[in-house]
Amino acid sequence: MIETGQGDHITTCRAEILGNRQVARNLFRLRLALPSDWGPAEPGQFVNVTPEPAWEENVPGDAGGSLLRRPFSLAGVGHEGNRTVIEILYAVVGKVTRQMQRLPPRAHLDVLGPAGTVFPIDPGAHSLLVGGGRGIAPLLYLAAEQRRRKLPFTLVYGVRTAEEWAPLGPLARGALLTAEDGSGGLRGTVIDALEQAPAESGAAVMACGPHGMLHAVAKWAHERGHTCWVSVEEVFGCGVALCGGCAIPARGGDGEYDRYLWACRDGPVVRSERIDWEAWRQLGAATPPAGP
Amino acid sequence: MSGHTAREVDLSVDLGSLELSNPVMSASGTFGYGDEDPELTQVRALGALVTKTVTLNPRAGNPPPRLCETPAGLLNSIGLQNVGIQTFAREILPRLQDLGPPVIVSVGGSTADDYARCAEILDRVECAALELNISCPNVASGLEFSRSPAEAAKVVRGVRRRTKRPIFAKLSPNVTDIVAVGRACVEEGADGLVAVNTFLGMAVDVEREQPVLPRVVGGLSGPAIRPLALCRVWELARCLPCPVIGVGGIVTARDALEFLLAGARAVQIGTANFREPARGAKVVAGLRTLLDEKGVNRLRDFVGRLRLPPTEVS
Ligand SMILES: Cc1cc2nc3c(=O)[nH]c(=O)nc-3n(C[C@H](O)[C@H](O)[C@H](O)COP(=O)(O)OP(=O)(O)OC[C@H]3O[C@@H](n4cnc5c(N)ncnc54)[C@H](O)[C@@H]3O)c2cc1C
Ligand SMILES: Cc1cc2nc3c(=O)[nH]c(=O)nc-3n(C[C@H](O)[C@H](O)[C@H](O)COP(=O)(O)O)c2cc1C
Repeated sequence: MIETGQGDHITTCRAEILGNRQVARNLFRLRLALPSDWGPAEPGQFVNVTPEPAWEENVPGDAGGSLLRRPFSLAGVGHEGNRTVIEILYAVVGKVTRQMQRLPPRAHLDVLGPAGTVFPIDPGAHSLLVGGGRGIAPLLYLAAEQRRRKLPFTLVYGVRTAEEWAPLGPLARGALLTAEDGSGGLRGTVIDALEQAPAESGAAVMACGPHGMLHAVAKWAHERGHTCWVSVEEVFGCGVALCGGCAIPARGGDGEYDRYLWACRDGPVVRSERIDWEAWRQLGAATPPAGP
Repeated sequence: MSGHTAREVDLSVDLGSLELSNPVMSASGTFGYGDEDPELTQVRALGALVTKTVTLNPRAGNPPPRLCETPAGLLNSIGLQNVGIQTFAREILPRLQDLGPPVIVSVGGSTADDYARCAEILDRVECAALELNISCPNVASGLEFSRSPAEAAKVVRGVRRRTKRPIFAKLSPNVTDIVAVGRACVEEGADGLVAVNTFLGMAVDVEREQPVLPRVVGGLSGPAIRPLALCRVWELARCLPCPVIGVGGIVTARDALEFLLAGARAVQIGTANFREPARGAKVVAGLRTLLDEKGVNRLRDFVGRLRLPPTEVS
């Protein structure tokens, strides 16, 4: 099984914005053009972006700009002509995502990536791909890849209210949709939907979403003896293991040094057993604000 | 006279017995151990590589969140997560030697004896120099030795007895009189001073009504601290005879020139690497261009040539 895809082809480059539009309540789809030899990227990996101009042109802070890049999962990768086109799905929650929302087509964004570990694809298993809220992003890429390779999967997508659903296009067929408030699909959470998943599915579970959801999915999978992989988030400094900022409480290591894993280098995709869910919950981390 | 190309500018500097091909280094803890994706970081272009701080025993580091971006700055509370000196010396250090630049190992400890024992271990392996991190604000056990001249002196004295390698003491800016601490280090045999480590800072999450960092305070770095760091570097450079390595908020070659003019013999790039992993390489290239534009052939002639207004009383 593939466990890590990091470090091979990470570059920084200026990407041109092809499109940037709202697709659901507080969810935006950004399409970016990159050089044809960018990557290769795989589902699960992320890019770390900044809308700031080159440093020689502007001292950060002077215009209230941002200092660090912000990480986003790849929601899709394709090729158009002699360019690589990547897609990001983002929610507006703070300084940089607010800035991103205002970027028009043809504007530029500096992109570092692709970085991080990948979702392993097991051709023998009917996998369950579980996304909560904006956590659907990396699973759209994974689902598209599975579909292209004609590998069986069931997509499970939960939101709080129906207006938050990103359009799924051809991936909508067979998908299990839930809204917590009953405004569409099944009333309830992704766990309720998982109970209705096809009997042959589940041997591999891939999930991304808020902490509470990930923990619940991990428990659900564990109780059934399924392998569960989760894509985790923590505040990033660099995204390339220079700073050690994105620590997540870990289990099963064999020494003091193994008490934390780094979301950027050991993840974002990790086996759910490696995470100390309770310690992480108590730290109150990993639950980004809902946004406006 | 113009007409010569930027390439000809001699950027070499010496830090006591240590000669560097250029004055730009990575700052400890902002560049991994140094071998993280060498293509991306362009580590080969650096004058020297400073590792993240290594301690006698492995350390887990602090609970998350460990970072918080502030205006033009970054608060961190990493807590010196590292593999420990034994594993470092055995498995990591040999790899760093192949990267090119001289390797300066940053050492931390909870007691003066910890530093001495690390120095002993490092004396048996290959490395260019030791940087003593006596200024980390993010650990419980009094690692900020450089808050007191006597404590700082004790650490340097212990290490000096164990190694002939150049020793650089990295100072905390969280003191009233940084020159007193620097002087104490030099008197005990430090070959140079690194100034500065991060400034103590804090951020509050107003919605949750709690500190953003679980340990409440952290270390502030990035462009926000550049004028503060520059001022400490200038004070040290004009009061003490030893080389001073300037660090704090440096992003561009122009920023580096500020420190070099103020008397820094070399500079380190920290937080800027997080946005651009190859920032150090960019600063090296930028220094060549800027010095050439100024008609400077040798960086050595430029260091410390700050022109003070006549009213400045020393
Ligand atoms: C690997 C990875 C993949 C991600 N993929 C996506 C994605 O596909 N789509 C998407 O919308 N977002 C994604 N995120 C989250 C995204 O990076 C943050 O929402 C973004 O950094 C916020 O930037 P900002 O400047 O708008 O907010 P800021 O002004 O920096 O912060 C606003 C608030 O959000 C909190 N916050 C910021 N980042 C995080 C975080 N990572 N975890 C928890 N709290 C945080 C801050 O503490 C603050 O309270 C991902 C994060 C990671 C680590
Ligand atoms: C995330 C982070 C980790 C750091 N870790 C260390 C460390 O391990 N040892 C050390 O001496 N300094 C450490 N520092 C301090 C830097 O080396 C540097 O002194 C400081 O950040 C100021 O420089 P800058 O503004 O260029 O970042 C760290 C700084 C940051 C931001």
